[in-house]
Amino acid sequence: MIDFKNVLKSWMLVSACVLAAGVAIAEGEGSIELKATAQKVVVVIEEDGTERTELVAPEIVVPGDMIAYTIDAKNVGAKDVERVVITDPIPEQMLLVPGTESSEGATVLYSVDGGENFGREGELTVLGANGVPRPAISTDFTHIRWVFETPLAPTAERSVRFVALVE
Amino acid sequence: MASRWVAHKWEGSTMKNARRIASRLLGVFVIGLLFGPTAYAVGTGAGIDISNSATATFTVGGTPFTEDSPTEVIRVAEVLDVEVTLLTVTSNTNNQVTVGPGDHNQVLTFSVTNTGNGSDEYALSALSGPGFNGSGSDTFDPTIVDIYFDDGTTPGVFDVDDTRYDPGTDDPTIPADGFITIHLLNDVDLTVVDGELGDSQLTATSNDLALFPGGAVAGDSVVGAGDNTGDLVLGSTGAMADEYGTYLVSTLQFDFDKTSTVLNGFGNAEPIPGSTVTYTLTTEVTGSGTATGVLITDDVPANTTYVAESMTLNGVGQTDTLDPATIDDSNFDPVGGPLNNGSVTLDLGDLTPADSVQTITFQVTID
Repeated sequence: MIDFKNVLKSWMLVSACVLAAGVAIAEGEGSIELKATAQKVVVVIEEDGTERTELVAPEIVVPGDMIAYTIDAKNVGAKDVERVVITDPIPEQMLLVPGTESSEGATVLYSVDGGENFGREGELTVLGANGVPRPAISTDFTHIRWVFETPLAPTAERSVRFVALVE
Repeated sequence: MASRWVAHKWEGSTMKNARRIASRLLGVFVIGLLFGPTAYAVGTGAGIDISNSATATFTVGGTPFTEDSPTEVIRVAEVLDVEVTLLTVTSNTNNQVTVGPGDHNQVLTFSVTNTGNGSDEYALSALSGPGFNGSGSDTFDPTIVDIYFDDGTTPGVFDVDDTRYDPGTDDPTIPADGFITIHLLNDVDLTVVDGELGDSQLTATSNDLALFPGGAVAGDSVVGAGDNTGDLVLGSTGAMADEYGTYLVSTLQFDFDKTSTVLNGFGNAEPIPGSTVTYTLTTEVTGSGTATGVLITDDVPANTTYVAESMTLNGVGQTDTLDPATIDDSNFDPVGGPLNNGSVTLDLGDLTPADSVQTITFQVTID
């Protein structure tokens, strides 16, 4: 049974946090501005036959297309921002293209249970078709998380990125 | 133009390719991770919105905060694609439908599959006659009769309850990843001769193709014309597909012969009680084509008694009991035949002119 009273309580707690964040921005103490950009990965063939990959606006997206998600985190406050953790769900209609997630200056973690629990690649398991746990692979990932190794100084900006395939 | 865009063939886009392209983009070395084969049976439906929003948690001076990014929404465009496939003709290894001179309403059966990601309406058309030679070996021209939907009582088989297709009036709507079965009927001219081949083709064209200007190629799009006011994209098939089937003229001849020899206890051929009569049945197929499921049955004559286990096929002894596991199945039915005097049956399966003469023998004794 779900304990609705507790759920409500925790929801109120979350609301309080959000409010607090709003206050923080207003006071200019230190805050992060988060921007997410979706771009389509396209291959351009030059006249000499060489291939080049480009990112373009995702105007027309069809199954099989690859979308690069870039998340820019900028410290718009006056103080250092510490313990920055960026979490992005991999849309349910998409699959993470393995090896495309950026990892510079961050520890990359994954979730296979809708963002409940996170672990490093290789640590996670899912139930296989036969009911026996097997190592999780990139198609099992529901969320990706970057834990920044260093604080973000005022005006500093850092980006993370992953590419996903539209199923 | 310095460069051109390449439309991704989404149904052929493998994760391996995706990794190759993406790794080049990001300048990273992509490790070959475990990755199961990804099949896009249909792909994400046309007009579906893919939303994404990132969340950051952080602390400032020890106080935790949470910040969400604005939500990015991508609307999946509608891809127009179709495939036409000739259904397997089980009676012929070359997938040809065997016909005879002057045959009417000979059926080629196709499936039309919507390989796009949205529901679409298709026009069907048939092609035959002079100037069409799909197989390259076409020597006669079947005469198109009609196109029928396979919506009758026997799925996959043309029957009287199937509905005739009326172009423009009942163009079928097929959901994404769905398919319909279509029968294309042709008549065969009386003048055709054994071994001739005739091709006939079925074409399915998305009615939405009319929204594109002439000469449109895969990857071209029409803004806002897709499901949920998303864009409409011409898929790799160009929203039009065709496939042909071939009729094989076969004047299959079935030659059957029966002889008997008598041997009595005196070593001569006088048929007296106790004499053994050996019946020899020969079967030969000539012309072209395949005689399927050839079953030879012969009655044991009155006033004779079948000699147990006396059946042979091409010199090899056969059992009297049904044994479906063996290819050349034989059976003696003690009360078979009009006289209830017993009958023998041998299943020869499929026979072609390439098979040698099939020789069956069995013995009876005169009562």
